[in-house]
Amino acid sequence: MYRLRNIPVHVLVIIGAASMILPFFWMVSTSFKTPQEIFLFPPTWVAQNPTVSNYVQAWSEVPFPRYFLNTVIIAACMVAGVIVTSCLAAYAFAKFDFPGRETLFITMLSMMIVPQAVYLVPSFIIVSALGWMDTYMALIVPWLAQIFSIFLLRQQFRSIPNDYYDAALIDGCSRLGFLWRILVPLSKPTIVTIGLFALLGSWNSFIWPLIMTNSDTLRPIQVGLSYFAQEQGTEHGLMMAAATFCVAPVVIIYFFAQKQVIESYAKSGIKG
Amino acid sequence: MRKAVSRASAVILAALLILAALLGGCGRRAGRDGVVEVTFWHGMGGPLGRVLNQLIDEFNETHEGIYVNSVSMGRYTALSQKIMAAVAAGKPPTMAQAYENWTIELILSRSIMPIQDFVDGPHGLSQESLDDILPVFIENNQWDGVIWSFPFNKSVRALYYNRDLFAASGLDPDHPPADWDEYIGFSRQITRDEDGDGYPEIWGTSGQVTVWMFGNLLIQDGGEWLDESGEQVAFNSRHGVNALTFQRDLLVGDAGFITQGFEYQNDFLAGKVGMVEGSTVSVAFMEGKFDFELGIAALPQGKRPGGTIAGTNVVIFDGIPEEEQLAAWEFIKWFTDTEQTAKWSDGTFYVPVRASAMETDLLKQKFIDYPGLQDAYRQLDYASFEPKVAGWYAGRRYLAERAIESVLRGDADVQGALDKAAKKADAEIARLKRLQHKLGL
Repeated sequence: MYRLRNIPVHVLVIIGAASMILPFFWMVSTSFKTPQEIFLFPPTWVAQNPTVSNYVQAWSEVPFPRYFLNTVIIAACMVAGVIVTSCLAAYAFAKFDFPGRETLFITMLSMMIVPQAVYLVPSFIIVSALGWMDTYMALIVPWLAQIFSIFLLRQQFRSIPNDYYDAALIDGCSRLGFLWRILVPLSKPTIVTIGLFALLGSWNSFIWPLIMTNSDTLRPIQVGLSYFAQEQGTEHGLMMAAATFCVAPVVIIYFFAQKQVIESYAKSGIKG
Repeated sequence: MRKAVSRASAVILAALLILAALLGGCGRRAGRDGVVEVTFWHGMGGPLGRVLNQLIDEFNETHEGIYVNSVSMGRYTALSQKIMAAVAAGKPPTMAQAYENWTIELILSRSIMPIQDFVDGPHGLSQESLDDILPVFIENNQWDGVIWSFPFNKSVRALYYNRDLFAASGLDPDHPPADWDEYIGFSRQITRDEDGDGYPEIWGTSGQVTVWMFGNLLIQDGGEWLDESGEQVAFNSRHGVNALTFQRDLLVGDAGFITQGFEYQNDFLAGKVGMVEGSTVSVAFMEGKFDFELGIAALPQGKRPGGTIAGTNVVIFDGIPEEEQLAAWEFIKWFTDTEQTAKWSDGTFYVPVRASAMETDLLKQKFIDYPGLQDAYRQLDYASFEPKVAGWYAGRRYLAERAIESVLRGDADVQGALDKAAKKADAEIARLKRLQHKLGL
């Protein structure tokens, strides 16, 4: 009986999963197709004459090894930086009373609705004035703090009773000590979440690195991907091959981190 | 637990510090002694970028003392954002690709050098050489009689057709449609509902919502973009109405359909569509992706022959060392010379900018390999271009969104939609005119 009742739910979940997987399936299958087969009608599900030439050409045509290295450097710095800055800022906004706290917080939040296109030119001017054009600094430093992550973590910190704070301080814990020893361990799921956001954000960033760099030696993978999609048309085979190996590392990381991610969510249920 | 967390945070902090220290030092390129570096921002990627970079490599190998650094933005929107930001920051590149409506803004903000200075200068072009450049490209790059930019990657619109579908529909594959009536007539003849479900599987034609097609039809019908004053649009004339009505009947009737972006090209490649319009450059993207005999032709013509050129030009920026500017000009001169412009055209299907290039063995062979391509290129003899007035950038968008899109996708009345778009475009052109006046330009 229990099983029967679950059937509609399962059907829904399966439809959801299939619609998520389908584009990826098409991506991988297209990446092995010859240019002629891509536009066959009716379309084929699996490549009939599988070829790896798309991978070979895409990998060699754009300096992907270098782009990957850049993306990894940028992503690592961003994840570390965002976690550190978010913890510190969220701690201040959640636990300290200082004049103008709410005003500052709301001003910061309101910045979130400004679209990137609006501040791209002013940002370019600032980065240029700092002498950071075409350096890693331009790609990393402006992204070391992220408002949404601060917001998320502040909400989490606020849910931890202030009594803990008073008790810890009475027992001789320093203010920073409270953050690292009490708040951070209790907020692991949220911190993992903002780390993932930072990773995805840096992995997918496109227009910012494109505008802020000129050298191939500094560009990340998304810029390399765009090379195959032009105004005049798209090279689907190459594009899908490149997309496949750009997505692969993230999938692999998630595959290994999956246990930790789920665990940290599960653990969060125990917290007081 | 407590220990693990503090250790992890210590590791993270240490890693950050090391990386920050490392990064401070890298990312700068060492300058080469005695070599003038020309930074060239462009939007070319894919097969076009490949050909461009080959030519740039060739230039760098044959020109001692100059190094052209090719920086691709991959697409024009990113290129335009980057140029506008760099100009505002006072850090322009040496040269860049630019559409005419970017160029006018760069002229007004005094950000670029007139190419005329270099053409007339000691390393310039002879009158003979200048006359060899197709007149439409010179006029396209002139403002008040001064050449400000130089033709770079230019194209015209061509008609591509599936010769197999033509034959299967009882049409002569050697006779592509010559005029509007044949265009729509052939399309109807090709359209087929094979399984009788009331919805055709094979269509006569397909396309996207584009100003380029409308413009060609407008000129072919005898219309003009602007009135005699050159300050007000005239695309809402009866010729404009004829053009848009035809565009609608062709693309959203019983013979054709419209798609998002370049999807129609995929449907054509899949053999589901008989004829599509596209830039000459589209061949470079279609090659090897279809399984039928491809026909190439000039566009069907209306009451008079007409075609509009597209593609960008190059500009040289102001406020950078003169030797860099001269080196950039050296590259432009080389790139647009007969041999190179022929190679460029051979590799990308952009049209050559010089008449003499059409006579090179390279392109003669190409015209043999691609029957009909020469007819498409010959449209340059009577081709014209879109308005170059400041404000056309917005005006063009009004035309696309408020008129063409709302007629093709909705049921807007043709004359009314064009009038509405014209009013908005006129206001924008007038606004910029006043602004220029106020700034004393």
